[in-house]
Amino acid sequence: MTELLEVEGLTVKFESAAHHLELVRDASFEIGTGEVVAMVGESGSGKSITARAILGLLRRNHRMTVEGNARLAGRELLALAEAEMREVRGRRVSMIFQDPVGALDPVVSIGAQVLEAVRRRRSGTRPEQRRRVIELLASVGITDPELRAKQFPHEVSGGMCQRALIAIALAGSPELLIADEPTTALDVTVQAQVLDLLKRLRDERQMSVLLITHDMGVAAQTADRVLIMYAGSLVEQGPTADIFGHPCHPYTGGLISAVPRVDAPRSRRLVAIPGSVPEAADRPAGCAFHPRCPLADDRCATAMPGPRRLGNQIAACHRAEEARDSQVHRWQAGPGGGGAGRLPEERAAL
Amino acid sequence: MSLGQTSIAYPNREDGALASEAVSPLGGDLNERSSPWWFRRRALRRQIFHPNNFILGLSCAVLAIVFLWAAVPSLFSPDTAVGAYPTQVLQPPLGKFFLGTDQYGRSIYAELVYGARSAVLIGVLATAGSAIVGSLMGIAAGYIGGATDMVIMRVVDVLLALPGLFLALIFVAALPPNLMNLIIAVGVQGIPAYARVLRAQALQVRGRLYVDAATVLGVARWKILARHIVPNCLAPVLVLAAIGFGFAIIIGATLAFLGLGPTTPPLNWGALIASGQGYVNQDWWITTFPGLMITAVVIAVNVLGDWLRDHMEPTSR
Amino acid sequence: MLVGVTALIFFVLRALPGNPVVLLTQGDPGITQAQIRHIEDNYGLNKPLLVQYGTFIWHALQGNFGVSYLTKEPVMSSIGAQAGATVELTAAAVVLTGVIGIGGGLLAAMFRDTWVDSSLRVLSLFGSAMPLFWTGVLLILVFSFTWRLFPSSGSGTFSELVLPAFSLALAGSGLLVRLVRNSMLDVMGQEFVTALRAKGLPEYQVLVRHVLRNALVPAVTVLGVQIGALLAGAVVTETVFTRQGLGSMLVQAVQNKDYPTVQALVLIIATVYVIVNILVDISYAYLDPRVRTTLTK
Repeated sequence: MTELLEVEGLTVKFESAAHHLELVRDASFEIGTGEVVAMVGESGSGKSITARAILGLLRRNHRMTVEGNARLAGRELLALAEAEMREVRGRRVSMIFQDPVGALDPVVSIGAQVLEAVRRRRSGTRPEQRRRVIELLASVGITDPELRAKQFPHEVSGGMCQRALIAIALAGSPELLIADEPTTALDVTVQAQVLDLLKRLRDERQMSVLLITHDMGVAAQTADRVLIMYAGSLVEQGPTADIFGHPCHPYTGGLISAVPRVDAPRSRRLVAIPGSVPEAADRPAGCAFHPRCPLADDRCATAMPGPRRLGNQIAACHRAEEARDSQVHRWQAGPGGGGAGRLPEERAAL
Repeated sequence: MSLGQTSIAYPNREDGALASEAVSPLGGDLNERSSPWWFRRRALRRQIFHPNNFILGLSCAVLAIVFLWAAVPSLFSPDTAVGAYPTQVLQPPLGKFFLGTDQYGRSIYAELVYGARSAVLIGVLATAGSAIVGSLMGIAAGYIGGATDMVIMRVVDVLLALPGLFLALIFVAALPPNLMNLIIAVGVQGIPAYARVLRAQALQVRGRLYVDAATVLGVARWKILARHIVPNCLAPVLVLAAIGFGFAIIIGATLAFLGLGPTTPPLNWGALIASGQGYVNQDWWITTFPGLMITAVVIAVNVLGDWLRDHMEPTSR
Repeated sequence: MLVGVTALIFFVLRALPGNPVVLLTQGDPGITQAQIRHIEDNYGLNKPLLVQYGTFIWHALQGNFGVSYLTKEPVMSSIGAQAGATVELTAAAVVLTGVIGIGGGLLAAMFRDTWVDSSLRVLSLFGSAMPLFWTGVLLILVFSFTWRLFPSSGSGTFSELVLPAFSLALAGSGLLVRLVRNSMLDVMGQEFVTALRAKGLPEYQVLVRHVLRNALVPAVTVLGVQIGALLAGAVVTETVFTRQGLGSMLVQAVQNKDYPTVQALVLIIATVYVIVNILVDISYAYLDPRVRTTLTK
């Protein structure tokens, strides 16, 4: 598979009089063409910042600095001028958002907002562009698109707004769609529909998807590969089956154990990870996860672990082998062996 | 509209909301302002030389000087009253007279000093009057409710149906021209603001459980009012009063400028500008300095009002 | 509400000291009782106050506000002759206020935390703190006498309108600049603005077509209130620039205790003010579809 997006050493710093923070530290990952990659982490772990840094949406804030590389089909994005970046946004890389109602302008009709995106291609006459709007709305599963186009965001449901946003994102036929927690604000049934829609679009258009979520269940259900983010760092990445089958980072293991499962024995208790994610301002020295880690030793408290390759996975943990071999999560591999096909289908929140 | 919602815990807000910081009329880093007091203490030392505090200090100084002028003008002026020097008419500033003289040979500086009393009296008395009357009306309307509420709020609506200056004009038209009546005219137009705010506050307080509890326990009505409603309403009234003070001075000066003020002393800055208007062609200082005084006082009370709002009503921002 | 206003004006003016008869006769000391009675009969001043009020309302509804004590002419005809100048001045000031206020707010928000922003902030603070009559005098000083660009007085030609309208707009737009700036920044912090940028829209389209349009909703409320202030300001401005119009007419009427004229003018101004505020409420529905939805429901 060819790599569409290659991110290398992405670091986002926030500077103010009182703080010098690294919101994202040294993140490196790839997204292949037509691949769905899930980025999982608790809120505050830097997922959305990473996504926005790639699209150059942080630049407007003078107190954020972005370092590292992000190459889209070999072309460096982070060095682009604002005008060039604008050509990338919406046409090569699109984005959809967590709060679909809030991501649409409340005083402009849905159709007009889609039309704006269509018009950026500067092709076709007005009636053609209007027809394209209706086509797009229909293609994301909006029934009665003529009516919906005339309505305003507050008049339709959240799921409908998310579909409209996806239609906007698709208007420029992007190669990569960044979906920032697209289902968090939606009802469970609508969630599944939106995820199915994303998968279908990937299949139809060979479009890559970076799916940001805090929900391991969503990742398992949708993604080809999974990136795990904790306190601004990528702690583990690998193919979905491997990540869920034998996680190499204790944090990943904890996330998986916290997922409720229908097929687990009743006696099994949900395992919550003790403690909470440290804020960027007071991250501990060494491995940021060590105060909450069952395997932590002296080294973890002092030295920050770098990413290491273990089989198909890459993990940033001094004791990755032990984490993998301890098989605390043996229950995952139920009868018939673990694997992506047998992963939890139900909604699972952290 | 919320003017500032950012907390100091910004780094974990991943969205671009960092761009929507709090906004103050005078600028500066507001993340500190909206932070809890224990955080602010640490930042206090750094803040003393911050432009905001410089402006606040300057405003207090301006107000202090004007109040002193009003109280004991003779201390600040060589003359016991504004005397005319018929041989020294229309002298430019920085000559024998610091700010020059007007067409009657009166020192502009002395006129400013002696004019302060009128401005301060109008500001203080009109504001106090409208604050007291308006607050009582609002509390009565909100706390008693029913027909009382309706009647009072209709009256307030009527007062609001006219821009403030017109309301004052009607009363000036009806009353003989003296300082007390000018103050009444200025005071009336301030009433509706207090009545509205206080009614809303009283309604809110009335709905709270502890007031129910007090009623059930048989506490007298006036005691409930004094204990629970009045302290809750103090902060918004003070903030309104600070803004109203500046507005009262402007309206008072405007009426005096239009020739509708008192015909006898004390001097009024607005009347000074009116009398100097005919000389603006050559002798700009007659009109410029009184206007600067009014502007300085109004800006000073607004700065103070902003500061009060920031420090007394943390939830309203 | 307007009925309340009429009552307020009428009773405040009548119940308070000051005998109209004295005014009508210009305080002539040689006046006889018979003459006084004759005048009272003529003006209906000997009837009970409530009857007088009823007559006033009845006539006012027919557009008859009686005869001026001062000029002895029907009030309505003098108002008709003067209204044009005031309408012209206020309309020009409203447009200027809108342009300065919205444009300034837009600039301040676009260049926030730069010198553009801070100088606009200082200007708007001064604009709203300077007494209007003094602004007028300063403008005359600078533009009429120092630079000789515009005339200092008169009403009729366009150049005579510039300074009065500008002085009114300066006072009115200070508040608007700050409000538009703050609500723009508020809107800019919302997610949909990031979404618009992610869509690849050019920045000016994001700001003007989306952010400004959202920010206008609160701005229009203030503009509505400001129109009241501008009407009041017309009184001052017309006096400063010795223009014709309802404002200077009102000041003269108040100075001379010409109650019929005062009553008529204040009532007309109150009516205009109430109508403007209704129009503002209607304009919400145009600017904010959310309001439209609640209205149709």
